[in-house]
Amino acid sequence: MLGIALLWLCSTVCFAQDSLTYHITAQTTNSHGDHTPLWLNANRYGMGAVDKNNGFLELGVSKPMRVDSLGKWGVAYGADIVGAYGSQASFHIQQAYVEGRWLKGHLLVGSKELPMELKNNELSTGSQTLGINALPVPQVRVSLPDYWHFANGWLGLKGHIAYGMFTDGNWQEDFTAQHGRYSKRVLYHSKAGYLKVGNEEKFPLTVEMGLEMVCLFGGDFYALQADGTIKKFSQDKGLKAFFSAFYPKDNNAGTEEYMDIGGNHVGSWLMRVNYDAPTWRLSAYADHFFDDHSQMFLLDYDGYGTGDDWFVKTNHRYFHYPLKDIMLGGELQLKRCRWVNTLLVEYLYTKYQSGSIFHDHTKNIPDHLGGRDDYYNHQWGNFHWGQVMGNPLYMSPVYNNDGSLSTKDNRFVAWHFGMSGDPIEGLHYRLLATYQTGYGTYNIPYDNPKHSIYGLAELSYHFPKSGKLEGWSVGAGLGIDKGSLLGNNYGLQITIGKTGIIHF
Amino acid sequence: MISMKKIFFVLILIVGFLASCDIDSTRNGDLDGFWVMQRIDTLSTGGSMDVHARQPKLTYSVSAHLLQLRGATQEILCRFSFSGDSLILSEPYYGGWCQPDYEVEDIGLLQPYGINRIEEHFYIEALDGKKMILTSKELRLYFRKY
Repeated sequence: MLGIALLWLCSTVCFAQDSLTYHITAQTTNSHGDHTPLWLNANRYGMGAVDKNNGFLELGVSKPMRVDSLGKWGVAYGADIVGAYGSQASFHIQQAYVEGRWLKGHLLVGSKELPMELKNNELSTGSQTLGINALPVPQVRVSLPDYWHFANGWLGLKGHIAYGMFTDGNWQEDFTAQHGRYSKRVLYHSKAGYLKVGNEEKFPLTVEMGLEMVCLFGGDFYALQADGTIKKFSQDKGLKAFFSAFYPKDNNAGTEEYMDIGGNHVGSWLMRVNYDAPTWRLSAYADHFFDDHSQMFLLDYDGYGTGDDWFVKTNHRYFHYPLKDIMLGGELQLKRCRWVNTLLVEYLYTKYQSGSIFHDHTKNIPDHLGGRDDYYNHQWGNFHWGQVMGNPLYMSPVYNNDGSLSTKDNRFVAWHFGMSGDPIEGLHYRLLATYQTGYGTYNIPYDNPKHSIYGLAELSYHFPKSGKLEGWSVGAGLGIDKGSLLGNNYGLQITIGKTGIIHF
Repeated sequence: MISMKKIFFVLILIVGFLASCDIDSTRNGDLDGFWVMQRIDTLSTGGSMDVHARQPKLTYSVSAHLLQLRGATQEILCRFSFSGDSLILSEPYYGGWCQPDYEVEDIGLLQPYGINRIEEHFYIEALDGKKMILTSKELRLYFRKY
């Protein structure tokens, strides 16, 4: 009903408007090796592809929200359609949305490319929970997308709540060739809240803190049985499941005694400290991922009794997990240097996962250890159309040659460097370099740790306004992978684009 | 405006909670972690078997007060005591997730992991953040930490 209302509003506004923004983008990538190099594929909202030779033509129209920025209310809408080769789908809808604004609150219906929070979208390896690596999920989303300031501007709040559904069920079925587990019609829930402390206009130091959470629930599992048939397991999709996705609680998804939280809940604690000087801005940030409450709170209840009291909480005893898994980053912006205007470095460690033992209390062993979290691999996984939804250094299932939908490397250590600049008017570049050591997973570790280097050198040029080629842009990217995680790959990517305004 | 009284009350609650709880954490030093068996030497014959490439891998997982054996026969959980150059494994149980645990009585369940008795005493020949070498009466076991 809300969507219909927004569409009516949109159509009313459309006829009252006299212009729309359009964009056309054509891109081709040609590579040598096993795959397209990582940074020519990743963090492009699912537009990238791992096939060595791929390309697409994208047509989009939109009316951005900023056109109505002065009024109390506003409407935005957009649609992008893509025809592609060498990709997971030869035709798909990249974006299709209607968004309404009342004061600072937004209501979004549809799928829209939504940027990462508290990170540099161009240079970072990616948020571990709400990343920009996968195709947008169609959803209904209520949000405060920009900080709502209060306490004389010293505090700010923003966030969102969303429910949606994945669209990759048929792709999963094809990819697995029904030889492994896959799922369809998986439901999606995300929520996030961010608090900003500080006022840059009065004091240069600000601190931003946030919590992002995603829950995948509902849907239907299909699993290959011993007799070769496929069996369907339907998950709860009712109101109770929607509520459990928002407020995680026992949903009897385990056994009679071991109650499990319904759905697959993941999330990240975020923090970013910024110092904003007149000619530079320095930021330090952290992203701590969790796949259950053991890493969410770094604490687990461990006070069960033994024997007949094995299911009785007899002690106020807790087990504390050390903080080991984390992304740490630093970013320096040079406001007056065109040649290098941003430098970024990141460190990412994901090996701990609450330790290597998972044991739920039993009669003879009352210890409760919530280890082996197996990031990105629980139940429904954490991917959309084969690409992980968070950080692409977790190996996306689309790389698997055996048709399985698991993330085969989720225990790794990585160092990453990024740099960007605008040397002359219209010309922009970025450089990325990453070194990763992967160990596989706790369940299937590699024979030996695998090492890889990934690099990217990318240039783009936007032709000047009021010139003959106004609205046109060209880009070229050179990517390279070297090592045993994704193989030895190098590739060239060429992009041509045109933006403009349709008057009617 | 939040009063100092309320802030103080919340702090008292937090301190009270922490004081009333027993919070344990792992204190196993370099022993803690995920060890993948690389090689087994038989002391009496000088024979050696490379196991690092087998699937599933033979692993010793150490966390808090438990040591878990995985990769062959059953998953087995043991208690252990660790001090200096000595590692003693005892009270082995087998079972699985959401399953009851059963006391190990058949040594055959332990032997694939290089353990030849219910209570096995290892001499720790080497232990750091990357490698571990354990020696029993019969075998020398080489591990790499992952």
